[in-house]
Amino acid sequence: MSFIVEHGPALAIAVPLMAAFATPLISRAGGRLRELWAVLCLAATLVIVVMLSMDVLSSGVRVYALGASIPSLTSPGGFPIRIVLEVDAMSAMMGLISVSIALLVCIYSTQYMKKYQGLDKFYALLLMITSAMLGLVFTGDLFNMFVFLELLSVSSGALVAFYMGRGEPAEAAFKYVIISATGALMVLLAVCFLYGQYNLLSIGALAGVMQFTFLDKIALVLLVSAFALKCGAVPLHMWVSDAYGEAPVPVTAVLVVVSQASLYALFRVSFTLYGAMATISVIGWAMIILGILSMFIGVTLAMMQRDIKRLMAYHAISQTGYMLLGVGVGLAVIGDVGALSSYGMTAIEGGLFHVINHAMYKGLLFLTAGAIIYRTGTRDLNKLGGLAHAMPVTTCFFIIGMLSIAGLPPFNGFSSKIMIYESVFMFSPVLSIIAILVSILTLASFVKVFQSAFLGPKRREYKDVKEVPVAMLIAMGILAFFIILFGLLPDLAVQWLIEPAAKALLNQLNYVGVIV
Amino acid sequence: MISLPFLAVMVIISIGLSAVIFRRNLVKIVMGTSIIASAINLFLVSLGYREGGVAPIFTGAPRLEMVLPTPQALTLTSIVIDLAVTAMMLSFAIIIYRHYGSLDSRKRRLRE
Amino acid sequence: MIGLLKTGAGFWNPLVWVAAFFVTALAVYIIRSRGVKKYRPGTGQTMPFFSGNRPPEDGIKSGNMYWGFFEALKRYYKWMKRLHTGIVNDYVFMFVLVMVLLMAAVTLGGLL
Repeated sequence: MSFIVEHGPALAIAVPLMAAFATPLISRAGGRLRELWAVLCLAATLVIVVMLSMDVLSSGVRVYALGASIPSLTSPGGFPIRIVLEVDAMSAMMGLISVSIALLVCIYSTQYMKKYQGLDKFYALLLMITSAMLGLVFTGDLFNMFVFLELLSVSSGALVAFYMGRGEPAEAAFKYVIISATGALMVLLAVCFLYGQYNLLSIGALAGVMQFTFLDKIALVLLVSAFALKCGAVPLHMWVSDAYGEAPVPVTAVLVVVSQASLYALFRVSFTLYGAMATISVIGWAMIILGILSMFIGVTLAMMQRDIKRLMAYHAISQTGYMLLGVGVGLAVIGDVGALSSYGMTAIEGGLFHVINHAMYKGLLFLTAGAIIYRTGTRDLNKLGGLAHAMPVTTCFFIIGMLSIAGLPPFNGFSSKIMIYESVFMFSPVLSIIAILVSILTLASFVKVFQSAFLGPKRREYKDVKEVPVAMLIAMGILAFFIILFGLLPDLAVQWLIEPAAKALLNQLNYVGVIV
Repeated sequence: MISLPFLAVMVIISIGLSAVIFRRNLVKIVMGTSIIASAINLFLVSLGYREGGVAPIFTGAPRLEMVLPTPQALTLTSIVIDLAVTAMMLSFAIIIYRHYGSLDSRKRRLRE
Repeated sequence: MIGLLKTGAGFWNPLVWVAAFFVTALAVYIIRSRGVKKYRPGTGQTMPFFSGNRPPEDGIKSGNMYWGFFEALKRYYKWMKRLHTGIVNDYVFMFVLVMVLLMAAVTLGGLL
């Protein structure tokens, strides 16, 4: 038991990676064994990450030096060497949400992808995406972050192009991989600048000796814009609708969490690496402006879409704007102690809570869209209609997701949105009013989807549509259960998960002190 | 004054970025990405140079000053990653050509 | 107490909200059940209302909704459609543009 906790960071990355390489061998023995193997490996990873998170939330940052004789030997002789994995409360929160969504998507895709071929590669790549996400959030080393970022973009790009019968998925995947490769190369350039000056690669060690010269500012700009590109902030958002729209539905639900992992990297660089810079509030204001643009442009472009998955992809851009707005307000007032304690902390907590809530309700909405596509075979909203008669459980889950994304009580969207509204209002009322307006437009566009797809009389061409299989209903049901749970008891989530994460982001000295 | 390798790196990165932004052929866009990656590999290797140092692989070394070995390890990792990404992008270009019949980036079906 | 979330400027208790919702729903149900039953299925009561016009034959599609909203924001939507070309070169150009703007902001913001 303590073996798992002590070697937890490395085990959590290694287990899905080795399982991914073993999947094509195991799938020789049959399809059922392959799916069972994937689900069991992801469940084992979830157990490891849960135990690691409970330990980190109770006793502080856990550090792991790869290749050392004991795991906590990060600086033998006073100089930090070796690749260091460093797990604090924020990493634990992101790791939990990554593995949970990956496990639920794997359960869902046992039924959804049944009639396609090449499924051994699908499950291998899904396990590799999980490993790369965990590597990205658990690492404490900048070059290691670049390696896992590239691994993430390669494996998710391969899955975006899974349907090879049409040309559009390959085009979407080409655009996605070009954009991701360019962004990651800019990250590597920034790492080169930092390494050239200080001869260090660990984030904690760099934060201790950084002197914020002009080259450091160039490196900051490169890092921030590359990570904003990967998470889909406007005006760098144009790949999101293509990639999310043409990927298979389970892969889209995982791509949402991949974007949140890049958001984590953005916060880690701004708060922990450059947190002591005197003019960091410029980056905070940049995040606020990106957030406002994303919210507004995302939702207005979503209202005019005809394709159900592209519509939900634009809503993902819009909700990312909420997270950027919340954390940007916190970063903009980070120097002012009074404002930080009164509303800055709540703004950061609202933004981080929104990350978890968004992964859950966006995953649920994409899975219900997948249920519609599975039964009717079409994605066009103009052709759908009257499905609520035949699929009542899916309709119920869609209503839960729709009310949650619009921010209506008592679901979890409201809990995080009210934290963002009230704290941003104390910073600047105009931003809060724009946020509320975007919420109303979100509800309007989802009412349009609900009316087109579910309401209305039964149509002739869908008369033998039944309810979806049980595995898909289980995955959607678990997500809906957690949405209602976080909506009815939000203070438990905030007290046990979000507040430690926000404190860990702001507490730079704790992160640095474990390394040197 | 900026030393020559760093200046060359900046020039090659701008050449690569302009290839990605201004070229229409999909294969040339992939080549642009590869050029940027080569420039950054050059930057990494040239960061480790120390004046008058020998290669860091000796047991009984002729001198004690050696060039830094860490950037060489980083460069090897980066070369391998760039190889995998380029291979994947070129295979996507082949699939696009098989379905659409052209490699022009302006002849696209997914817009807005 | 459990269920109480302290936001920056106040608090929010979803359990009290759910209880109030059920009490209100009960009151609404009791008041409505004492009224006159006027629902006759199969008559013109169940057809959608089109201000006296005839409804279209194959139902209301999603493209017909929110016509007034889209008509009022026609110029904005035309500008957005022109901006979202779908060409990958423009995507990277936007990235470089944002990087240049951010660099200008960080340099000038540091001098203020």
